[in-house]
Order: sequence, then structure tokens, then C-alpha cells
Amino acid sequence: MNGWHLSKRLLTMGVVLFAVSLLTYGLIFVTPGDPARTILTQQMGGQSPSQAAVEQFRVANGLDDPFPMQYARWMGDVLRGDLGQSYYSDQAVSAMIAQRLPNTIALAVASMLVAIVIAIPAGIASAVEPGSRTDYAAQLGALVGISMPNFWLGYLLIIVCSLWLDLFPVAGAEGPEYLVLPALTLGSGMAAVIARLVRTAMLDVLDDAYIRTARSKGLRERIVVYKHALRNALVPVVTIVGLQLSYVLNGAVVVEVVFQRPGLGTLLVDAIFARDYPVVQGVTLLIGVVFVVTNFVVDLTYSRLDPRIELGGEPT
Amino acid sequence: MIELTRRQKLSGLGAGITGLGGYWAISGTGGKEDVFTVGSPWTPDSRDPVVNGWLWRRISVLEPLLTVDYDATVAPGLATDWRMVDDETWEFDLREGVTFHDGTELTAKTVLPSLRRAFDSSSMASVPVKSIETADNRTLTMKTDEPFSPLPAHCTRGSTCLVSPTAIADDGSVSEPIGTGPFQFESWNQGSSITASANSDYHGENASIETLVYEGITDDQTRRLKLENDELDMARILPNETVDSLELRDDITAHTYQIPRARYLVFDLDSSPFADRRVRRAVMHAVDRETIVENLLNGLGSPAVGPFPSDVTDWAADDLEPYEHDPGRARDLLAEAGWEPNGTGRTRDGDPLSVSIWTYDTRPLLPTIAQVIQTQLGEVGFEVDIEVMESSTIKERATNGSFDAVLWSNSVLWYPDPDRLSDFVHSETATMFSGYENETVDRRLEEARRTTDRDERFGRYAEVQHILQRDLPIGWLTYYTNVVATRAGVEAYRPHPIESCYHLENVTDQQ
Repeated sequence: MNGWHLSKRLLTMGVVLFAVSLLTYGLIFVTPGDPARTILTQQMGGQSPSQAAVEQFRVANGLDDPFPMQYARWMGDVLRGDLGQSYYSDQAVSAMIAQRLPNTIALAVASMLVAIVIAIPAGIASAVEPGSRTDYAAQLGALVGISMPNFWLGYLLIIVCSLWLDLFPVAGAEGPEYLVLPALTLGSGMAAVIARLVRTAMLDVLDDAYIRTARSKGLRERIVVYKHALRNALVPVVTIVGLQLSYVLNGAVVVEVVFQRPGLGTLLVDAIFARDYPVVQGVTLLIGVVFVVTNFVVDLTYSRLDPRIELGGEPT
Repeated sequence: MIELTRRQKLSGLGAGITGLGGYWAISGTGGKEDVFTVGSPWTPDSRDPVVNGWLWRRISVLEPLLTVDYDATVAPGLATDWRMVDDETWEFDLREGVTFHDGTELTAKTVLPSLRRAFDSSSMASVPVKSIETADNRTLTMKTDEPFSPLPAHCTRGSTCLVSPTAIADDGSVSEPIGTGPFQFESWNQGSSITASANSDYHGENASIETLVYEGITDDQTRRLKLENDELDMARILPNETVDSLELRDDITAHTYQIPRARYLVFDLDSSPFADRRVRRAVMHAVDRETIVENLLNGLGSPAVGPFPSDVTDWAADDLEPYEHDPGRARDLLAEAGWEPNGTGRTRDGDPLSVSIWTYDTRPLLPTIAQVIQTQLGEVGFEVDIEVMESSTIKERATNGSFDAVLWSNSVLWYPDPDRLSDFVHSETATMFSGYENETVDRRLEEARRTTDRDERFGRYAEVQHILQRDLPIGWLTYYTNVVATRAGVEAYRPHPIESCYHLENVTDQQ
């Protein structure tokens, strides 16, 4: 990777983030539902505000300005490092994000680990003996994992693990014991997707000439599978794991609600429903950054896993 | 002790995953015995009373000038007495011996910044308060732009909760709820929970609960499961269908109580077919509200007659004529209005009798009730289409354009004054969108605002209720019943009719 490539990537990242912010700002602007009315309704405990109240709120929050002016004002603040103030909470957007980010990171990392711990062994076991009982069992498991809705699995785990077995608390976000069930719920769905991918990728690789070579050299099967095949099979898997991040954030909304874990997912969804523009914008921007950075890291990982892939080089 | 066992079991099973997960939060669950935890669907979003005062008031951290008693009428609060001095002037006598949680004494001078801030806010914009001054150390004077008898009721609202002058920053923001209640703010997690402790200097009887934790848990089932697993002492607003199974348990007590909240249909009076009153009446005769209560609400709740449930408030007009379930009468009314049977439906001048009902799903059961209405209206010849949208979208579309009917749910007495009817039907100030205009209704509502005499007011509100019953801009369907469940050891809990306060300071927990 050379400097030229890096700066090109950084520039693209900037453009992508700008486009994301403009798009979300634009989308929320054309979405029906007046923020002044919606927010006042919440302030009044669900009651409809009067027209006078709506007008007063619009003026106070600059909502009567035209779209470009509002956007420019927001962008100007962001460039100065200020994500703004929630219309509804008394907190700054950055404080709200900072408060929830640890929960989201913990959930994302834990569920990703659950997914990988389940998926990679299952995928390999399937691929090593395609058509075997292990293979069918793993594939059936994957099918169940994909098909099971998050909220349903969540309740199931609560009833079995909390109410019957008394192993974990039902819901909350206080200590590590609160993380287990949400991570299992979210991770099992991802595990299913990854396991199937590992299986396919491994099957491809195991047919390759260098595997035959390795085997004919008399290397032990273990070494062949784990050292030679797995590493190459991981390239597409890493891509998907990166993309699964979006799944973590999507699925997290349901899991966050069921397990009462305030995180970015619920923050974003609640803010959209509440028309709390500054929060929506702040979280979207953050998610945008996370995606762009993840993709970048995934790219870097390629060349580590498979040195034949050179970033920014001529296609081979 | 349960906590410890749980953690021991856990260490063998889940610690690997969580440890690797890089979770750095420290779990501190010690001493939970003295903690009373209440779970409710509403998350704490702000420490500013103007925004979230209703929640801080519910958990007795903040208190307003006046309160609401168990009969849903205005009662003394931080003001012990109040009176209308002349048409546009009110006086409030402040309670003696009250200090804010930071030690500041409550006087006319110290409540002024908080009260002015509240009445200047958007939330209170519809209340015509012109000025608030101190008359003497213990007396406040409020002037209104016009005679306004509902003012005391507005002084019970969450937005008007009083905070210490030290809680208000120079820029006017409030980021610590320093109030006067029996519980005082300790800490919070925005959007999820609040911890408060008993205030030993409370001006009334001190709370027996030492530490109060409020958790905002949006999911109904999670609230219920947490209560069953002893993680909550009180779970608020559970689905009606959980009552039967909760009542079977010895360790849980379920409370059900009616609240002044209604589900209703708002008709568009400016477009066909509901511009015709006969068609609106046909709807009310076609809908079987008993069936809705029995089958969808699990028997909890009751069919609505007018806007106010007479069991909860005596502002309900006497002898309002209910619209009985009578499909035959509905068919006759439709025929009278020119809608003749045609095939399975009805037509008039070639146009089919088809209507669209808009509703939203953030209140449970509304879409299901819409489906039952769809079927029941179908039986008398309506072709009904249901659209479920976000509530703010409905408001916007219904306010700016034509629609047929909206199935909505709202409190009919969220501040304890029947002037609330103005929000529903006054031709200029209504926040519902029927497009109803009736001069007599407007005049009576305005007159009732100008007098403080209860009988005179009641007469006018009763007349308005009778006119509305005849004109039907809004068809009242059912009233609400709330379900609150507590652990069995929780005693002396008394549900409040408009939920303005949980009054947990009166509650004892035997376990």
C-alpha cells in the first residue's frame, strides 16, 4: 500500500461521509411528520401541542429556515467538532452517543465472537466431510439460525436461561452477566450466515492444486486444513464479517429493546420516530464512519491473509 | 443472595464469552435489598422539567405548585391555597417549611425563575399567562391575558414542576432535577434509568423506600419477565392479556384500574361520506364496543359513552345517550343518507361506500381494533381499508388534507380540567383534525374558561358533551384500564387515576 493509494482512499471516505450526511438530512426532511409537533407531543407526555406551541418551538430551534440553511448550519458545527444538541434531551448529541457506544461495542464484539466461535468450526467440519452427518447437522443448524427471528430467540433464551435455570438476569446492562443472552441472540443469527460461507469457501479451496500438493507432501490433514486451506478461505469470510456489522447494528435494535440495553440502534430508531434531527444525523454520521473504516480494515486484512492481493496495485 | 449464586453459575458458563468481549463495565449489584425498582415503558430522556417533568413528577423527585388527588381534581401541592383575585389575577400561597434538595428554602423568590421558565416554554404556550410576580415572601401572583379558570389545572402539569434556582444554568438550561419531592435525584443513564434516594428533609411524610430505581423498559414482555424474575418490584402498563396468568401467582399482585383515556374515531367532516352526520351515526351503531372490550381488551376497559369516563371523573355529563350496537339502525341511517345496497356493499350515485381508517401501532391493539371495526362496518355495507402509519404522519396528513377516519387514542383529562374538550372540538384551538365547527360549542367552551364557578362550568361542559354526542365529530369507542403489577411484598400502593404520580413514597416493601 502506497501513500497515493492511502490519500485516494481517505478522500473517497470523506466524499462518502458527506454524501451520507446530505442524504440522511434530505431524507428526514422529506419524511412526513413535523419535528416541532412530534417533539412537543413527547414533551407533553403524548398530548397534541397547540399551534402556538409548535410555532414557538420552530422559531426557537431554527426549524423555520429553509433546508440548505439548516444543513449548512449543522455541517458548520460538525466541522468544528460539535454534533449539536438533542431537541428533546438536555444532553449534547456527542454525550448521548458516548453514553451508549460502550453498550453497542460490547454487544457487537461479544456477538461477533459468539458468531465466529460457532461458525468457523461448524463451517470447517461441514466442508471437510461434505454430505456427512456433521455437514447436514451444521447446515440444519445454520438454517434454523437464519430463520429464527431475533426477538423470538431472545424471549426463548430469557425464559429458559433466566426464569427456568436462573443463570442470567432477564434484561439490563449493568454487568457482564447481562451481556450473555443478548450476545447469543444476536451472534447465533450471524453464525448461521458465516458458517455457510466458511463451508463454501473451504470447499472451493480444498479442491485447489496447492492443497493436493500439500497433501501429497504427506502433511497431516490437520495442518492442511487449518494452515493451508483455512487461511485462504478466510478472504471472503472476512468481507462478510465486515458487512455483518450492518447486521449487528440492525439486529441490535431488536436485541436492545428486548434486553433493555440502551445502545446506538435504539438511539437512532427512537430519534427517527421523535424527529430528533441532530441525534439522527450524529448517529448516522458515526455509523457511516464505522462502515467506511471497517471496509478499509477489511481491505488491509486481505493482503495480510493473501499476500497475492496487493492494495492499490495493478489488478493481477 | 440470588445475585451471588447467579454469578457463580455464570463464571463457569458465560465468563469466557463475556471476558473476551472486552466488557469493561463493573457490575455492582450489592445491597439490592433496600432498592425499590419500578419498570415503565417510558424512558427518561431529559433532566429538564419542561421536557420530562411529567416523569420526574411521577417518581416524586419533582413537585409542581399543585397536585392531582385520587378523584382526579386539583389539590394542594407546593402551594397550599390558591384563589382568583380578579378576572385576570390569581394568587398562590406557598407551603411553609419546604426546602429544595440542595437546601435552598422554597420562597416566592426562589420559585420564580423555575416557574417563569416553565410558562415561557413551548409546552405551556397554550396557557395565556402574562406575568408571574411575587406578592410577598410566601405569595405568588399570576396574571393571565384573559380570564382563564383552567389555570390551576395547568399548574399541576409536569412541565411546571419546580426546581431550585441553582439548577438553572446561566443559559437557562436545567441539567439537574433539584426539586422538593420525597425522593431526590442521585444519578441517571439518559434513555434508560434513574436512581433516586429518600429525601430525609421532605416536607411531608418521609418515604420508607430508601433507594428508588426507575427503569425505562420499552418492551412489554421484558417488563413482565423482569418482574417474574424478581428484577423489578413494580412493572407498569402490562398488556391486558397478562392479567389472568399474573393473578395465578402468589408472588405477584396485579392492579387494574380505569384511567381517563379513550380510544376514538375522528371523522373528517369536510369530505364524503363522513360529512353526513347520518353516516357517522351509522358507524357508531354498527360498531359493537362490548365485543371489542370482551374479546380484544380481555374484559378490561369499558365501552365509552362520551369523552369522560364517569367512574373516574365527575365532569362526565349525566344521561348521555349511548349509541347502542344496532346494525339494523345503521343500515337504515345509511339508506336515509342515500347509500343503497349494491351487491355486498353500498353505493350512492354510482360511488361505492368505501372509507379508509388510519391508525398507528405504537399504542397496542389499535390496528387490531381497526380490523374488528373493518369487519363490523363491512356487515352494514361499508368497504373499509386500514392504513397503519406513524402517528406523526397521520397528524400531518389529516391536518393538511382530507381523510375519512382516524382511530386514535389519547388522554381525555391529562391535566385535570374539562377545558381539555377545547383540544378536541373548539373550531380554532382543536388539535384533533375533524374540522368540526359549531358556534355554540365554541361559545360554551369559552364561557366555561371565564368562570371559576363549578356549577356554571359543569352546565356548559355538559351541554357541549350533549351537542357532541348528537353531532359526532368524534366517535368514542372504549376507555382504558391500566395494568400494574407488583411483587407480593409491596404494600400500600394505590393507583392514581391520571398517573400524575406513582406515590411510591407511600409504598412499603416487606421483602
